[in-house]
Amino acid sequence: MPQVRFAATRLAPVQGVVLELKGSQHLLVNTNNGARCVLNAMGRRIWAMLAGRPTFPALVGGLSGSHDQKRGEFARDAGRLLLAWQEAGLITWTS
Amino acid sequence: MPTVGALVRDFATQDAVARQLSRVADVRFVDSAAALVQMGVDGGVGAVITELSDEAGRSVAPMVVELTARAPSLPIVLYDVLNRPAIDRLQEILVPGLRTEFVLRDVEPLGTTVRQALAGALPPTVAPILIERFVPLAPLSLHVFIAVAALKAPSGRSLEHLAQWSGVARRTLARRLVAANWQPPSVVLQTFRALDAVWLMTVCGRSARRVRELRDLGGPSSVGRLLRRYLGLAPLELRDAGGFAAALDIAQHAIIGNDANSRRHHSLREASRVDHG
Repeated sequence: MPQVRFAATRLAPVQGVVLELKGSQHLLVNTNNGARCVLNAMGRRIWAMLAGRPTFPALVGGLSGSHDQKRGEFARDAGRLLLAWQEAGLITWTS
Repeated sequence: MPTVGALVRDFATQDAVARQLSRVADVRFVDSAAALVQMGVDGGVGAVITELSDEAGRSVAPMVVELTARAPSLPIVLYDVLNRPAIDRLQEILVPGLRTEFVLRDVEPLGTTVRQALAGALPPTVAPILIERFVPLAPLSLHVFIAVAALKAPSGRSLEHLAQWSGVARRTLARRLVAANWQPPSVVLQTFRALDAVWLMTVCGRSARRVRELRDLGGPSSVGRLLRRYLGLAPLELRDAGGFAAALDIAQHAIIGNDANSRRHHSLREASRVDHG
């Protein structure tokens, strides 16, 4: 079997992306290029979890908590959000 | 005939996939994860098949997230060998509740799972939870069997199959479990089947009857009998006791031996009427 590297299986913030509070709004700001993104409740929870470099299943498990029956729903919503953040250069896949 | 997209790297495996699916679906092979995502998003395929690593040897975890986000109803079939590194990779990919299924390459028929996927009939999988809970509790020599049992117990496959798919003889497997002070393989397997039934009922909202049909468990009282025998409680009692979380705790105490559990489960060592192994 060939050696498999599996380099990127965990999610992490891109260096230079910080959280800003503006009134009641939570914003992600990319200090490298000035890009901003307003966080909703789910976004705030996901951002807090990214410090631990979670895998996607771990992140979904953390979001759904005891609401196991909604895990699929959480996975889809979180997946959409992460994809948008990735395309905006706010997060990256890491090892 | 429906079409499935497949990211499978070597020609021999492509050939095996094409042969196994010749009466199930047309197969369009792609050469990159990006191409598979595009195919899924464009909507021309009823399911996608992928190995655990992409064309550059990277985990397909990011691709699965992208498919989950952009094509949420598309079933994903993971098709690869299952060894210890692959178990770690699976834990980085599989999310309970999503329509994702793992098929063991070279040993397990692919057609059955793909047919189910195309019919929208892949039930949510409890396997990632069982792997996360039980694999770390087992010695290394049992990791692959525990993962195979977690992934395949719901399918009703025999213990002989699962031992073979784990790469060990059934007798060797039994010896390793005894040495680790675990219950016999048939008890582990049936306890996982019971957990799968509890998961489907308490978390996914399926009725006992539906679970029986989905898992081909037999007569009308088979689900209750399975739960009572391997988790010690009837379905309603389990719900009152805390549902799936409580069932996981009970199962852990039941299959990982200690004196009390050995006594409690002495009777389980005998062949069970619902034991397919």
